[in-house]
Amino acid sequence: MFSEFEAIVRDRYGHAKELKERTGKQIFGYLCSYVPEEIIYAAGAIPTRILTTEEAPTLSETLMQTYYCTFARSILHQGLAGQLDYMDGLVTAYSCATMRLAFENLQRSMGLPYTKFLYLPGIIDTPEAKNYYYKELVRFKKDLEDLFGRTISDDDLREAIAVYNENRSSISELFEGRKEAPPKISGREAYLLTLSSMLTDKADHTRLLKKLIREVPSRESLDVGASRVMLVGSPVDNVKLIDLIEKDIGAWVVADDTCTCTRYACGTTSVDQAGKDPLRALVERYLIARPPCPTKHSPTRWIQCKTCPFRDVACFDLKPDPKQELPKTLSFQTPERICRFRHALQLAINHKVEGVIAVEQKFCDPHGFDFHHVTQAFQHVGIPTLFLEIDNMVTVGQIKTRVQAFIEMLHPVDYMIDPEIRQGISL
Amino acid sequence: MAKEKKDTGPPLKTWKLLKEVNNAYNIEINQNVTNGKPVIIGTAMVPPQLVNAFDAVFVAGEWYGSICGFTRDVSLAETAESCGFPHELCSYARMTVGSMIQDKGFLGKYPKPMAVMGTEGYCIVQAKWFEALARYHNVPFTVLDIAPVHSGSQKNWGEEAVRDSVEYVVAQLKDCIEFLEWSLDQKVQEEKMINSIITMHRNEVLWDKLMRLWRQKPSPISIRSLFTFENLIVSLPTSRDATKVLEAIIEELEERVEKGIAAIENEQVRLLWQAQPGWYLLNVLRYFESLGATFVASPYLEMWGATYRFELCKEDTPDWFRERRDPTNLDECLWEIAKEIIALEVWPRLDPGIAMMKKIAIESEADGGVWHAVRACKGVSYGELAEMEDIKRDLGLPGFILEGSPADPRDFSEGPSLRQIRVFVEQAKRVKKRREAKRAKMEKQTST
Ligand code: SF4
Ligand code: SF4
Repeated sequence: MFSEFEAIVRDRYGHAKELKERTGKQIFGYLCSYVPEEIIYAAGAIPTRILTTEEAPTLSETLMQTYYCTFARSILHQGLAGQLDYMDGLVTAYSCATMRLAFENLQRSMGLPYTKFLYLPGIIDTPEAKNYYYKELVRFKKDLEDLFGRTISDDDLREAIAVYNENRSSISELFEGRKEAPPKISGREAYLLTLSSMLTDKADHTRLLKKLIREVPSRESLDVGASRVMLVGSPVDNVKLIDLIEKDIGAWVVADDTCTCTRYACGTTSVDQAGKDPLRALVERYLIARPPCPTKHSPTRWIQCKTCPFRDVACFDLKPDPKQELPKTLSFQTPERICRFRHALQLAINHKVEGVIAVEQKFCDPHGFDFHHVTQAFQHVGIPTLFLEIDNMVTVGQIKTRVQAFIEMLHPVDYMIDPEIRQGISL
Repeated sequence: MAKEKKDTGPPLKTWKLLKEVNNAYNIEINQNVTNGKPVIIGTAMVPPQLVNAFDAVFVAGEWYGSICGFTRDVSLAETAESCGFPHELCSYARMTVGSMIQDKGFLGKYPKPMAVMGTEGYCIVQAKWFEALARYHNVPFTVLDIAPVHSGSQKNWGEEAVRDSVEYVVAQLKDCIEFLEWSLDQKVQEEKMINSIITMHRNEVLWDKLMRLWRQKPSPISIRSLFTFENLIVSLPTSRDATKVLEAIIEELEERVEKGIAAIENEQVRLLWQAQPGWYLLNVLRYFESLGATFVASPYLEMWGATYRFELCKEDTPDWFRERRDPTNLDECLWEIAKEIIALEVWPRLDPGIAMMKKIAIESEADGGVWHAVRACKGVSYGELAEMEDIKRDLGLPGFILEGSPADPRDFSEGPSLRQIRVFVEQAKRVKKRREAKRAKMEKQTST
């Protein structure tokens, strides 16, 4: 049932070349889930994400020190090894200095006709950040118009948005089945769906998803009674880790907060907004509607915490003093999106998660700094956590014992939150 | 540690004055830890002109971390690690976080802040580290997002894009003022901000002058001394006391240059230094000196001045961006601060970083370079390998990667490093001889 998705992930270079030949379209590689792929798609090219392979990233060692994560180094390695030569362009959006260095080195070494570094604001929910990103997107669109020698109309953008929305909502529809006990689709399958959607033409992918949506209800149910685990943290794009949890140890990965799965697929672009101004609508989708990653900040966090249902239960570090008045004069007062901790906690509760594995690509600063807080937040609602450092090779032998010991001690959790608060938590 | 050698020049007369000013700063922080002005902790990238417009003491996390490193108190980093901050994170950050959790540090107590500020755009740690401090203390936190001006050879980049970046930063600076007014319960002082900016402009010019004197032949001041002077331009750039010290050291060095007094005898090869030092092991720098190698320039130290940062964005920016004016009102202040902080972002970018390195290598007549691969640092040590490669290929200068960490002595292996240093300095001497011989031959050929 999932073999077509798996084939795309497994033979991603072959698939990209075949896609290019079959459609005659250019292939644009991108490095970060914040790249607004819709604009590339509207220009007539196919965006495909560059993910890691299991090869040791040896070639990257001449350009990136080994204290950069192997997620980025593997990408650079593939570029230097000529494995990405099918690409016609390369785009990234600012996430962290590590990915920027991989991008800049690829830019210098690959001689691609088009490369773009989008400055994605580090702050995402202020009017000025949105404005700034809007202008970046206008420049990006202009670049692509020059490159392809044609105007990208608002209708082109709306069409692309519709294609992406349909793909994301189909994935979300399937992901609903992860809440069930036993889950309707496994963690492996969830990851394969999302990873493959990044690696192919979205319209083709949606067709496969639709078929799957018809088939899934009648499939045999997965094992009952296995523990329910959630992955939180750095990108996970090697299903070996999930196989270890699901096949070898026998638990289900029923939820995740990673940019290679749920964080990528969540959040559609508002059609209403797109009707008025599709680029503005994309700004809202990427900065507000999708779940944020830890490289994104919010000056409204302080205010969000004031009204957050988890304030007293989970974020014990963060309890704002109840006596303290909210700022009356701050112009950036309206919190528009929920914080990533709250998002992850909600996901965990809605999916009846019994344990969280906080995954960190070794040397990943954004997630490394969050681990302490992630642990605190989950532990305070009664969900145990395990910190797991990985690299692109995911050497299962080294981590198996720890993961196994962790999973063995899991059991259904009676989340330590008041029913009233619980009512306010639904995704 | 290899046998140390003292500076061979006379001791610096300005040293006493420098110590007085640095000590006064420590005492001021110390006094305010328990009672007094509110403390704001933030990254060294937070514009000091902004925070100094309030009655508050600003503690730059990088400075704090560096002194923790200098005192070699590894227990601080260990505390942070045991609380879930992985060893792979920046050692400045781990030291500070450990000091916070233990509530102890070189100042006695840890300076608990009333507000915390991070920045984005340069290195993600400068936001995440401070977010962690703020969460721990449960105090207000904000981030200043520094949009770029370097185009990185992008198309459709021009004056409008630069203006967008400046306006975006100016708008955020206004938010930061609101944020500080709210969290400190104070009003911003326009006059103070104007004066801070004027003084900082002056101090940056003086810092540039000091950097030019450093690279004279023979070099009149050691890099170790300069790392101590650095606090003036990192923590105290808006202070008039810093101006006094900088003026004094410039005068003293001018005199040394005139008289040909060297800080280090035996200047056989002249080297560049890139990135922060290992503050716990400044003696490694002495070891270079004992082998006849003198550091004469450092892009890392140069960045605190104004020359390079504005020169390096010349092709990407209109003239108005590079014009520096003393402001007369709050709006002009914010505009000046925005330009200044944006231009500082030479790293992490490859092209401007490499261009700067080459320029400084040529101007300082360097014979090679040492890149400190600062474990876990993705900002200052960004692109070091590409820089070293290009310097070698385009200028024929040898380079050496010294692996270490700015504040965690556990990440430095002394024995192997000293051996590698010895081999490198010998290589630099050989390359220098070959280059000189080649040059002499060419000169002879031209004359005949
Ligand atoms: S979950 Fe998020 S919004 Fe809620 S208290 Fe914690 S940090 Fe604040
Ligand atoms: S895994 Fe972490 S450090 Fe690596 S590129 Fe992603 S966010 Fe950056």
